[in-house]
Amino acid sequence: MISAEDLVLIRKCLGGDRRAFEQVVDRYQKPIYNAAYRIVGRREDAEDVTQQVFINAFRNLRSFNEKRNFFSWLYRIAINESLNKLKSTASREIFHETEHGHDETPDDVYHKKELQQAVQNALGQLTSEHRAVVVLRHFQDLSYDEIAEILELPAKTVKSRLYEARQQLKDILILHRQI
Amino acid sequence: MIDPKLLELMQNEIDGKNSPSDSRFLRESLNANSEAESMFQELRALADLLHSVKPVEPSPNLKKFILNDPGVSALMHSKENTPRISGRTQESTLSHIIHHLLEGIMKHKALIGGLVAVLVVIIYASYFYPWPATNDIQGTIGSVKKYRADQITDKDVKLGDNQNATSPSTTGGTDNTTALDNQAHLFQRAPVDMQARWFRQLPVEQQAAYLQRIPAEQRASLVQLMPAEKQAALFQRAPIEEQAAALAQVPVEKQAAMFQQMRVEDRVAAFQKAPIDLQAHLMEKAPLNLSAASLAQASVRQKEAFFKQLPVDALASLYKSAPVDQRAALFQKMPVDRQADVFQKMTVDAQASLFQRMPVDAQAALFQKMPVDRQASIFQKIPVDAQAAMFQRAPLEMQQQLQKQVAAENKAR
Repeated sequence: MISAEDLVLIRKCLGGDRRAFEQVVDRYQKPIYNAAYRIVGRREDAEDVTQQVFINAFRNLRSFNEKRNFFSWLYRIAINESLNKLKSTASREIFHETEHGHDETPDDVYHKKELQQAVQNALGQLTSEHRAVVVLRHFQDLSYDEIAEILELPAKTVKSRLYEARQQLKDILILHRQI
Repeated sequence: MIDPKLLELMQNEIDGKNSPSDSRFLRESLNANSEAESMFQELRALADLLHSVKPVEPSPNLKKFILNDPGVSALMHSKENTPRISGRTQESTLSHIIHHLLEGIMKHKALIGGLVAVLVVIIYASYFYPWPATNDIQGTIGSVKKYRADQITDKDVKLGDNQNATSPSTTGGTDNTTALDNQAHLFQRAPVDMQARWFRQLPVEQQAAYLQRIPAEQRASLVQLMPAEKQAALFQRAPIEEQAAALAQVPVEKQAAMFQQMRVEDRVAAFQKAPIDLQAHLMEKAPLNLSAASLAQASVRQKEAFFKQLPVDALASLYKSAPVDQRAALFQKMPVDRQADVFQKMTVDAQASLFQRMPVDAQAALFQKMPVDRQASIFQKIPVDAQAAMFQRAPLEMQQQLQKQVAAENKAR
């Protein structure tokens, strides 16, 4: 069910309130960007996806069913956009970017870089269906029911996909000596 | 080959879905099956590894790009009635207008028919009796009468439970709805204090019906002008979504009081629809049984937010109010720092009992957050195998301190 705060923001957006739209962007850009990044693997592509998610959401806001969860609806758009982006960049080599902070030692950076790279590469070896469930469960911390709502699948299917995805990820990461 | 039931329990354990008895059963099964134990450790390590990957920050310009996107700007301008709109927006605006026109036609077939007839007559008349030239009519018409709506007065709005023709309670079906809509429309034009004066005269059912017909912000200001018992009655008659929205708009000091005036069965539902920070505030102020019920029904995300936001005393009370078999699971969902704070509020026996229900890794993490003297007391109360596991996982310095402390306590006895 939608939160009262989201409901107020959506109604204001529908009334043409630009500040309300800004608030929606402030509230959801980071989780949407992160979900997209874990699926598409490149910052630049993740930013394109995030931008498109908000534009599509805003354009289709009138069709949003207020009985649904707003963030599930946004995530659904984000997953679809990310998968579309993946298809369009299928020929490019992806999953090679890493993140690091400014106050880390070279050892930290090296270790983190290696870890991030291993995780991103392992994610890149999963099918898009498996990748989506792992990203929503482990990086967005959503429950089976929330994932089921976003992917429009039965919770049981989410659980079985998650099981398969974890087995594959585990094997890949063991092979690369990260576990 | 690992039993599928065991595989499911492993998966549930990783996702924090197992009941304490399932967790216990899993631990016993894993102890007896080294292959399963090894797979579980790998899955746990995978979950920890994925958990350790930090979120990435989007570029600071991303928001600007989104807001300045021509699609978004065009849609915003079209809503503000600015004529410059993109083709795509024009198309959606046009379809919107057509949709509304069709809707209007369907609703007012008779009116449209009449208008068409009038139009035919006008065209016919203007053909045979052409309109005179402007010069011919100058000076024949008096001063222009511009339409100005009069300021609304008490006489314009007939509210109250007097059984007159406009009272919603005396009219039925569509008439009733139309009368309500008209009155609400008129009602909105009055200043808030005048609205409040009229509003007070209405029976509560009519008040609730009117509130549904006015904008949310106006509704909230009106409700705030009512006495507390009236607010509660109106609250109980509003849809749950409205209750949650209204609750979010009143000042913090009033929220808990309003919440407690709601019907018990509505409270948990309204609670779940409120923003997380309001939920946390309400949980802190609400009676313990209600907080516990709300917590039990909260999603994982809500629980995490509560555990981060609630004061330690409120968390400790919630922990105590949970059924004994659910306490360990509840405790494990808290962040380790909060666990340590809540743990400090328990008696040593309660601590030892909780400790034994937790997985070894969680025990070790918590143990390392405790003051040394507490560590020694707990250590003496837990079974030998748990002591060994704890000791092995402690850093060398902590092991030495622990040995000293335990020896000192034993000596003192």
